[in-house]
Amino acid sequence: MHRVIICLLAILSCSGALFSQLPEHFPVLTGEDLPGASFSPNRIFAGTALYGYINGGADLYLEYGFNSAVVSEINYRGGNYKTTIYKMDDQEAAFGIFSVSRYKCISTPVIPDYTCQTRYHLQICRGQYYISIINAIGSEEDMDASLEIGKVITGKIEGSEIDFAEFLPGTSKEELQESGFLVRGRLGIVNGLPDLEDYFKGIKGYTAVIIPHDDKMLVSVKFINPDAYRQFAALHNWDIEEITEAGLVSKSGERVKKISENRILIASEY
Amino acid sequence: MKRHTFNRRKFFYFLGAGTAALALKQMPSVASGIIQTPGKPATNVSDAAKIPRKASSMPGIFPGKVVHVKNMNSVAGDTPVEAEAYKMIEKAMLELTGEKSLRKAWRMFVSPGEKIGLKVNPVAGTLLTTSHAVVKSVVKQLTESGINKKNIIIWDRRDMQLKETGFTAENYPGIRITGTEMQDEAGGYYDPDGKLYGEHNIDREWYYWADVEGEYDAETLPFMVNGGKYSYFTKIVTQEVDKIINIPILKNAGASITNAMKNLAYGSVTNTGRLHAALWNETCAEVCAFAPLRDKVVLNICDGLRGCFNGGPGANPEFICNYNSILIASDPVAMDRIAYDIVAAKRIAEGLQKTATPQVLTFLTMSSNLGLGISAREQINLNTFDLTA
Repeated sequence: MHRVIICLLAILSCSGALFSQLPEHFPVLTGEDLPGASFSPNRIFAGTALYGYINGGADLYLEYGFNSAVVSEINYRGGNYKTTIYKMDDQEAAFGIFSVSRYKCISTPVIPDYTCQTRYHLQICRGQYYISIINAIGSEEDMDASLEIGKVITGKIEGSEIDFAEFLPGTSKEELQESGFLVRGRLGIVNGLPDLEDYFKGIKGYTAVIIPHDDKMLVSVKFINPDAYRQFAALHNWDIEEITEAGLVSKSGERVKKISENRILIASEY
Repeated sequence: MKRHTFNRRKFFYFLGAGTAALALKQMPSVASGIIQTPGKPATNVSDAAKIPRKASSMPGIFPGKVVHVKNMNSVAGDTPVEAEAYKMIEKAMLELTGEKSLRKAWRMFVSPGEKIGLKVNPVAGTLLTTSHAVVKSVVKQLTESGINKKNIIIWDRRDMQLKETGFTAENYPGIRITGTEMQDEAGGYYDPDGKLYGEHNIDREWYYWADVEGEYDAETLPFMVNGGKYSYFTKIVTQEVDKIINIPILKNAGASITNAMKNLAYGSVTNTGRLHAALWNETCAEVCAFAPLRDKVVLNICDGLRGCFNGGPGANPEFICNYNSILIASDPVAMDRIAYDIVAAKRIAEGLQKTATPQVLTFLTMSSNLGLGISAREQINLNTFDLTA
């Protein structure tokens, strides 16, 4: 009996039936979405299984808060495209991954919410999803097809756009799109703004939105609890009682202002 | 750890792994195998020292010596050029060894009749794998030096990734290509007896134990061999090969790098997912301290023709670049330290960081402390050559 069960499992494995089911409401593509396209079977990675897909690269996603990812290879209009749709725990996490992954964007196509396109890569942040579409050739045709694929995927994602007003009131979407970073831990820092590693050294339990401007930077930090806030203030030798809505100027010249409970805004030299 | 009379695994099983380290502290005769770094999960790294070192043990016959050969013609478009790679490796081998004959240079490391394993890195897929230009050049120079093709094995952790990236019998006729975790032609992961292929390929006598639980995930990683607190070495390194030539790619990992040590450590044992977050530095260093790697890795050839400078160790196309470089060393620690300088310079040039931060290379300091090589930059003898015509 035992042997029969093992053989059955082996057969199921061969047929791929042991792979996970698609997470509910996951915005994956089908043949109806892209007539003429052919798709490889979806590969699904949930939680720490992401290590099985991107090895040590998974650490970054897990630090931000990762739910699951679906990977598919698509042959469409004569080109090959690898799409990876990462569902993060929340919108901030998705923007965070986008912010430390985008680089030298050739264009920022108008697809909700945030985009960055290079010859080989289209990246999109939409709601709590970070979407990566990689093409093999880097031609205009590939870039166009990537865009088409990206539009179809984002069209399947419902929900509102992330609101950064609570972090940085008055900051434009364009500014965030081009130069905003959202970090939640050491890996986000070393991937996006490695020169700031010491600025957050040893601090856990925060979300920071950072906009560097030449030699200055604007940093908005949300701490998950008063302890994390106190640790951060202690790291910089700030007297937490002096951080008020009116703000203080630190010995190193930073302007530090309290926005609300466990939230501060810093204007600093970079 | 090589099992002898004491069955540590059974011991932990009965003891309850969560309390194992505590109990071992109270049992000096047993505790010698477990090391607890402050603030870090315990590991069995001290077991590695129980097997005496050999003359060939890391850092090999040229401690602290690294040869860096550059060649701007080594990549055409996005494609590494085999003929240029061949010349770069030839130059590096001659400079490393001080020999005038390439055959003699290679024969300082390998001999006919020995099984030679070439440890490549295809993990990031076709976008950024150890290049065929470099691997084919190495194979060619080995065979020209009297090594029979049938004694060369190209290997990594996952056979599927080797195939995906072109390490196939068609591309490498006469050479065995294999991985620890395998998938058959029908797409299955189990043999006709219902046993996972990977299970055949691990050596339960050799393991890296760490007090971090790995979740067994047969659903999304159907090739996964085991979870738990053990990472077993592949039989490829413990039984099949006599010597290993390590051929990593030049990649960043955040502000650090993944190169020789990481390629060996994470490619040679199972159940590695659990080791990334909690023990990345320790794993890179400590796994290499065990005899199958420490004593068999004789040469390291960093494929820096193409690499990445951000977003690594995965492969984001915008961060892939042409470093046009080959590094060669018997000392993997020294080679990694030089590799770091190359990656850091690129990151600074790209505006990703303002200064180099070699203090992030904790795994190299640990490796050096384990006697695996030289990590102090000022103690490394770097010889750089440019073959650009």
